[in-house]
Amino acid sequence: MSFCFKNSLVLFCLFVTACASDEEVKYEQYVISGAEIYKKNCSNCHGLDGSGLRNLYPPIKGSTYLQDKNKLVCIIKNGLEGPISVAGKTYNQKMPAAKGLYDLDIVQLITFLNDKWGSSKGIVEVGDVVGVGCE
Amino acid sequence: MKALSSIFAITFFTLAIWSCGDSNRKLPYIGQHDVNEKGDSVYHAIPDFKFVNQDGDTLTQEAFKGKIYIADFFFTSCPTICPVMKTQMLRIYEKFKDNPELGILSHSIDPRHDSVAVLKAYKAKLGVNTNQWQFVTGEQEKIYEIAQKSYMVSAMEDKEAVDEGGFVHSGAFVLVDKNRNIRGVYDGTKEKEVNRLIKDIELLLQK
Repeated sequence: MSFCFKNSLVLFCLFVTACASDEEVKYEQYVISGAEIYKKNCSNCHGLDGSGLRNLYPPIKGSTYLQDKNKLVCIIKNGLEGPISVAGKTYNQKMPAAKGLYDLDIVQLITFLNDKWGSSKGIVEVGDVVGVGCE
Repeated sequence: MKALSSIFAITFFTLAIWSCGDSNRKLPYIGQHDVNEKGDSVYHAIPDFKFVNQDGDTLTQEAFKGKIYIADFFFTSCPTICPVMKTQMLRIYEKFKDNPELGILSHSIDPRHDSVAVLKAYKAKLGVNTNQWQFVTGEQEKIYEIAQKSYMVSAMEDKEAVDEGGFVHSGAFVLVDKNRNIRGVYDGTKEKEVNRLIKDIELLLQK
């Protein structure tokens, strides 16, 4: 990378940051925190690249579960048991509940999942999940 | 001039090391060393064992006769390090697939849950379809004993360890040679350590 290019990149970054709205900054923060939460709580089974593990653990990438936020919240909070179908394959391995995650952690996680592997990006706020009733 | 000669020295030294290559490297013998009456070294070795594999068959040390093998300890419902260990073990399995001189032995430390049928399904879901990689269950006490005393890795039940699934165990991969001596212990949750293990397997297979 040439010196000039590096400098202009730095300037460009500064410029972008300066112009980013509060909303955009918040979104970025959610994605970054969510990535950390994913790494710590989910990646052992679902993989750092979200591709799961063979026929044992389902992928996050390409999973339609990302589209149903309420369902997703409940799965993260309470875990999941029994056979499920993801991307045309059946999986049946118990998923433990992610205890110790606060609502803020969960929405940051979901924001990250959608940013990285979902079909629609967008911030999920605590207010969106606080009233979700799980079985 | 001084600088020049030190450059020469460094170059020579580097070449000397490089020319030795990997094949002259020797793996250590892990564990206690004893000396017998003849004055020969006797190394720590894995004793005879008898477990039940994923097909319901008895599996003993005979299955690994004339082979080197990698041993590890896990349980199928483990939410923490086991999936990472299995991802790494799959790398070894795939790299040495169909090599008759290498085996893999995964012991369940949760035999109450991990029945023969559970192990069979787990193995199939991992896509492992040869005898090269064996999954065994058995008496819990016997498995803990061989883990701790023979393979020298930790494995025990711990009801307090709820987040870990009720068991604590090490993520070690233990490299055992054809004489049942331990030649290396590696962290099976780390890609770099497993790279080192793969190199050591290759080295041991040459001998």
